[in-house]
Amino acid sequence: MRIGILVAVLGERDAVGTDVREMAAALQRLGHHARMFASASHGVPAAEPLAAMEELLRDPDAVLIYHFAFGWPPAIDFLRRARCRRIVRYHNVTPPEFFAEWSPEYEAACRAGRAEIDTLAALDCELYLGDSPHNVDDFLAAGVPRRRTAVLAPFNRLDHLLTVPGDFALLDAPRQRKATWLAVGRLAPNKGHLDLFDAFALYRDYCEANARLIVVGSRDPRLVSYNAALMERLCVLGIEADVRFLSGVGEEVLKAAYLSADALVSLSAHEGFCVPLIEAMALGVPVIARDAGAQAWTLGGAGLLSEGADPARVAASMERVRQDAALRDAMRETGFARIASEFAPGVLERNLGDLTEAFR
Amino acid sequence: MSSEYKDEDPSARIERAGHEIRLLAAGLRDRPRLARTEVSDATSTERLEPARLAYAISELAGTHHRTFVEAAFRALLKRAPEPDETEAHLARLTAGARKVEILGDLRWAPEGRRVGVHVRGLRARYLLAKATRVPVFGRLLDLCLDVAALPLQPRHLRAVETTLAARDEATQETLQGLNARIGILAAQVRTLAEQAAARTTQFTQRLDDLHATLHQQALALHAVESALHTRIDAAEKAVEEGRHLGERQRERLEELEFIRQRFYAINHWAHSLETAFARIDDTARTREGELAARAATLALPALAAEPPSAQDQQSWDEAFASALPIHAGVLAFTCGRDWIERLARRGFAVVHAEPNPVLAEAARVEGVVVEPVDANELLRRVPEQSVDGISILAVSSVVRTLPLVDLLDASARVLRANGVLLLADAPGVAALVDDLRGLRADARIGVLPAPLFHAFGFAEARRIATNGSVAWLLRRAAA
Repeated sequence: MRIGILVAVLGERDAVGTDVREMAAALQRLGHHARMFASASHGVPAAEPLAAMEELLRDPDAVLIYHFAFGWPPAIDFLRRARCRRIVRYHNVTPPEFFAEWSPEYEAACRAGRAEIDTLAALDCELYLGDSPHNVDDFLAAGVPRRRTAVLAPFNRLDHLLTVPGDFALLDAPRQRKATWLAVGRLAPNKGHLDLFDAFALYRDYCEANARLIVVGSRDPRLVSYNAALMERLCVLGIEADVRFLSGVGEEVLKAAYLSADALVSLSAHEGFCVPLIEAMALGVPVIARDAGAQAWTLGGAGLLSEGADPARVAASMERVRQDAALRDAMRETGFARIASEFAPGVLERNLGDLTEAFR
Repeated sequence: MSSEYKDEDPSARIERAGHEIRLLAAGLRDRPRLARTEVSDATSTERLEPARLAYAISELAGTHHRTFVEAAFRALLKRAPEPDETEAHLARLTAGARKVEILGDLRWAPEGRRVGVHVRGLRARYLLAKATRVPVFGRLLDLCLDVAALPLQPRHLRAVETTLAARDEATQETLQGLNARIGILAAQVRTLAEQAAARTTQFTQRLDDLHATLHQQALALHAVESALHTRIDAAEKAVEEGRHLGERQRERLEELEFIRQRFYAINHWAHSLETAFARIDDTARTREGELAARAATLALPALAAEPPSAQDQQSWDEAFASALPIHAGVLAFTCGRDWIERLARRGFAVVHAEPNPVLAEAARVEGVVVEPVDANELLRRVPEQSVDGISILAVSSVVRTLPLVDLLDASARVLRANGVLLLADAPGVAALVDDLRGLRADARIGVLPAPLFHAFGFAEARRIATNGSVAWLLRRAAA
């Protein structure tokens, strides 16, 4: 079966780019003829230009999978004109409220993106495929019948992460540390970094003075005020020397960061899936997360959840994780089982095969 | 960890931890705030940088005891050992395990495989160490290795001796430092003891003050208690009085209830009495009716052959009819069939009132309305000034139920102006029936003076004398 995968921009390391590339590879292995189309492409393999997609759109036997993560009007046009079967792969659009204080540009873009949910729902596509039940809820609320929806976790590179050697060079601390917090994710208002700093400072003040926080994630130059607010908060809390930012790191360093950490802490207030959670689970790293968005579903009971972002709750969770070896074992065991049953690449490929089988 | 949780399901353990963390978080800020410590310089184990993925075996095996375990973990697993892990490996070392064996176990454990550190020369020595675990062959191999290592033992002993001496020297220095520190601490303890004694004095004084305050409050409480007792006694007395009052009221109520029951009984008895009287009246009326009917039944045939006052009625008829207009309306009370026939023949509209059903039936004449009631009842029904004439031929029978004075009043009321009332007391069936019933009375109208009738509104009173009877023809005054 001919399958086109459409995405606005094909990134190299971001979650959507990984999902697109790994999905294309999985479809090829399943015997389909899969092609990627994007307006811009980074990394390899590259996507084809949008103009090359026209012929596929006219083929009623073909399938077009549109990866929807932010507002992109050209996709609406393609889906309207398409004579082929259509699947909307939804990675979630961040609600604009998160950017209201920091970036009018992002706020407008997110608002437009959220508005496209209704437009896409009205197109009556054959399938709306969410990364998680949380994502599917957006389209159910827009009037899509439940029978037209399904959940398929995003494709990932866990296999690669497990086999790549860890590169600890960047993490080589000049001084001995007793506790290491890890946060993974780009620096954006919905990711909860300000709450993370509060919790970490509290932990330093009341639990373990000799602790450090590693933040792996890229800074967005368009979020100048937010980046400045993060630095200001670090200074106010007096923890600037204890927080290490790593940006643009490869999988070797990322793996080293996971292995160095006592726990991954994710206080994100909005997540459509949260890939770092399953990376941590796959590497046996305990997870402490905020019960927001899809994070509870992704963890599936393998981590410690915190309602809201109460700093004391998060700090206490970290202390308990470090002190309770049995708890760490339980979290690792549950996490490994969750990965094996739901998020392992082989499982995702099999689930994708079941979904595409209905289109043959 | 408590033994009760040893077999706990992993999910349940995580959930339980979540609950316990809530409590931990609630009390987190109650702890003393930690000082911001400067991180110490690198220790000997810090030499094994976590970024390194390649080592010589001598780097790892050159340390001893706890330091060795720490270094092995940080080098091969890139993390510090947990306390229980440290203790487990120290126990192995104490039991005589080779360091190479421990290094190999860590390196080729699943966690060590994920980190993937390369230790030059470890694999061969690890395999050799494992081979010494093989029964019989392992013992021989172990022996050979020990024999081969014998030449090195004096050198090792010298190194150990030197190391121990150095350690002893360091220990002595440490002890001296500790003694000095203990001296300082003892001085601090003395100072603190003095402060504590001063505080104790203050506390004692404070306690005395508190005791005095408590004593005063106890006195005040005692006064309040006494007042309360007084109030309670008064309240109890009031309650007692109320209880007595209630008893009296209850007795009155019981009396009233007794009277009420008696009243109901009397009321019931009175009703029964009324019912009995009513039954007696009914019986009496029935008896009187039967008696009247029987008397009439007997009287009618007895007088049928020769009516006792036929001649008198002839005279009265002429006088009465001449005083009335044509088709006059006439009431006739207990008059007998002959008299009713006379009136009917003259074309008068006659209403005959006869309470005796037998006599009423015997006097029934075509065109005459018969009312089975007495004169009193009929006169009450008739409107004022609505009839032209009234004839009563047996006044003595009528006055038994309607006295003469009432009869004259009622007649004057219903007669029109110039209307005529005929009063007669002739012997006839009605009189005979009264005789038979023992009710015979004499109205004695013959002795009544004519002026008497004027008092009742009759302008003219004419006495009609016949052979045996007396009659009066009375004319109602004009309007």
